Amino acid sequence: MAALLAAAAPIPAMAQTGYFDKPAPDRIIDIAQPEVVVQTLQEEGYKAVLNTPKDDQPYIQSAANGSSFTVQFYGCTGGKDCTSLEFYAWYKKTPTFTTDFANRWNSSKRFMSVSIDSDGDLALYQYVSTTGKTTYANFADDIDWWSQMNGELDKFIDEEDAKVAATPTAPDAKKR
Amino acid sequence: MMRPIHFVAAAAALFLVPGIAQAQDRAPCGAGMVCASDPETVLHALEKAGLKVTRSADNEGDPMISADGAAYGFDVYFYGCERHKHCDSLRFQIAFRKDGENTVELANKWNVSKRFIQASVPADGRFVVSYDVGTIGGVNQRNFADTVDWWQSMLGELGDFFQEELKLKPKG
Repeated sequence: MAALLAAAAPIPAMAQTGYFDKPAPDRIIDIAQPEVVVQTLQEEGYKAVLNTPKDDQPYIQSAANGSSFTVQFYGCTGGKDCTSLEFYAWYKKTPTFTTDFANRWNSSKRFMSVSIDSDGDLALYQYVSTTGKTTYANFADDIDWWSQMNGELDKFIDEEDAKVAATPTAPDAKKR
Repeated sequence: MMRPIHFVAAAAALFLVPGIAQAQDRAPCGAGMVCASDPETVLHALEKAGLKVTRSADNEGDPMISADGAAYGFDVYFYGCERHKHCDSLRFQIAFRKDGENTVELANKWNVSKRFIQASVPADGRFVVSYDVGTIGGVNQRNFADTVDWWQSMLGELGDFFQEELKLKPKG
């Protein structure tokens, strides 16, 4: 995925810094720990702020292509040792966002899925297992897929908007 | 009735991600890692998960693995390949035959309420569920085993979902 940047909108850091300027891409990182994910997002050029609600699972507020997103952790114990994470964002309901629209995306694109929730908003998500650690390069690739597919979705929405003459509201991170 | 099309699903899997140049993973697969660039590592990891696997090739000649799982048999496609090698990602997939029950609303209902695997109804009317995994940098055995576990347990949930939503009679 690292080589897919040709088609991409400007994305901070990745294209310029690449893996070669960073500490070993094959180093093992423990993405079950939210602070390690914060650090990796930051190393990849994203802002990342960790939130650890008292009675809930931790989540990170971040942004890609000018749109905010969250990384929601699941299966954590005391805010650590999580078993999976979800990249997540949503777009407010517009006439474009129908189940047919979501299905057209889902049947033609990879990694990032979308759905129309009970409010009619468009939810974007990508799940990753965090069990057993991974390489820096592999998690950077997950982040890259999420970012790339966000850019793709923006184009996809623009094309659909041209058909229905509607404007999507800027996305805003929220928890499901 | 939801009947999976095993081994026949290759065609539709190949039209994904239009407009993006294909990437490849040219780095050697690290020791003990699972990489789409080394299909044998994927085959062995699936075997280790207790699955009966068969290696073949899809319509394009890229590697493909068919596996008999607990809930449904499924296929693993290799993506981002260059001349059928150096693939950079995997796609776990099952396609169910075209049926009047395969609606966009049913797929969305799954997507809203379930995690990890995605459902869609492509133009040909099949009901497709899938999960994509990037393997650039390598995926270690434990993490890959957990992904296979997620895939299989969500397929089990899918069976229950079909029964509940489509009012199917319980198995057996």
